[in-house]
Amino acid sequence: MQYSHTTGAGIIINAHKKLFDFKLIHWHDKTRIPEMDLLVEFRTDSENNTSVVYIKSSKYQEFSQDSIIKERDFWKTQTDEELEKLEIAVFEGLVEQTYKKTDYAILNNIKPSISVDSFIEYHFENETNIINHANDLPTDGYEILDYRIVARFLMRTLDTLVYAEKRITKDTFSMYLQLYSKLQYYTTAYYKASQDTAKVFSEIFLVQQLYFASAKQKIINLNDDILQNEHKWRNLKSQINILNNRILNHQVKNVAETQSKIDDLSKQMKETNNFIAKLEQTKARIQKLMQLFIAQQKKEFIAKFEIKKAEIFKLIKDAINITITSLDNRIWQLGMQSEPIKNHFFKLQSSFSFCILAFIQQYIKTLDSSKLSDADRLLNIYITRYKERNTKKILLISNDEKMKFKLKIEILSLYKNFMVTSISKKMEYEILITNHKFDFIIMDMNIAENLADMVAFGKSKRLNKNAEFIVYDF
Amino acid sequence: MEEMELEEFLASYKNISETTVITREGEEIFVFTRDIDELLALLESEKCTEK
Repeated sequence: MQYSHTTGAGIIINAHKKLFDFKLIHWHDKTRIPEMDLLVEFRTDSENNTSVVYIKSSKYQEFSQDSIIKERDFWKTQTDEELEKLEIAVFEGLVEQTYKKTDYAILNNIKPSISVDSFIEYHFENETNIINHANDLPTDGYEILDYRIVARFLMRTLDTLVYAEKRITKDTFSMYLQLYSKLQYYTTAYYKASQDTAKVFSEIFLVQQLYFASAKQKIINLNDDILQNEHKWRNLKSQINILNNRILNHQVKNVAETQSKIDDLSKQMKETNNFIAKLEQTKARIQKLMQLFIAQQKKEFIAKFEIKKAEIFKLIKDAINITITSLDNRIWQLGMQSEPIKNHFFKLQSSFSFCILAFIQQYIKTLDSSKLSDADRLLNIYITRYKERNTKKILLISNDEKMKFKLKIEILSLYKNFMVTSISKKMEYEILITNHKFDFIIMDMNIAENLADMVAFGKSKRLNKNAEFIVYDF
Repeated sequence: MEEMELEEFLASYKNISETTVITREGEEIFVFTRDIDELLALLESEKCTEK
């Protein structure tokens, strides 16, 4: 599959190399966004039409060497349902083979066909691949953002960039957006509920256990055999009763012959009874073996799966944080190089570079600090602490607006967390330097004749005695 | 970077082309530069040490 985030349209190819167009409105999948090379299930409105009316990602995306269905099976089938049926049929064939090869009369142990460790590794294979991909993204030494707090500003930042800078489209960030979407799905309640340990054990792990499934099949067959033999036993009993009644009612000519028949039927009945008992014994033994298998596997499974699940959930959280940080860095890099962003975004504001932080700051400014919602209070605390740890404050003083703007852009392009306050008046300088702490104070040599006094004034202030002063004359 | 006393700097800054540390009684007051790249390099070194 190919897809463009910019146009919201994509192309799918089927097994016969026939191409189909689709639009985002026909994407019916909340778990993923359309992406390159995704395996999908789709429908067109008629057989000869190439316009797709329904499309979603297939639940089959990876085909490992050990999987019982292969990628060629995917291409041969039209829907996930069809492929699922095929998967079940292949597995049932394997169960049948195993069942036939096993002598249940002497079986004393059900062994696992997939160990708990292998199952868990395979079960979280997709998650692990995506986490590894995210962990490879560069973050350039920047503090990793907390997606739970900043995520709501991500699309606003990205949309502003894409809207202002026509040379940049959302496709520029498609790799990040795809990763982000996959990871976000892994944080949903739906996904978390699907990883319930007891549910995964009974509905996936046990179902995939070949020898266990064969034993289960044996129990079904034994039940059938028992029912058949019980039916046979009842028939025999009924025949014996009929013959006994005939003897009692003097309805038989040859009593000895009839009695011999009764004896023969009684013998068969006894044999049937013994056979049923034997079947019941086998059944009880296999059931015991199955219970033992469940008990042994469950103990190991619960312990190992819980640990791995907690680890995966944490890694997913870390991976989504890395992804959003790396994406924010990329937005910052492209935004700071963009002329429309320089001309619009920075002309209107901003002390901050073009990144999520700037949009959070804009938002916080609009809030009444005495009436903050819980989410906004958390945001405010988070961003205040983030700035304390990361932001370097720079005061830039010059009358040359053009040079001051150029310098500000250069500075904000250097480091995402620089914050530049630009001023042009000595009075503003005196107020700011008295009330705010800066890391750097950069002055145009031509700002005032008594520049040395201005520096001395700044250095005399408690908040800025350790600030670094730089004087320039370009 | 070269160092220069403030008095000397004020008297002759028009002739200074190199980035220079301006001091008063041996203590740094500010850095003077005519080169935007050197100014950025000063900021760059600071942000690197803090990360």
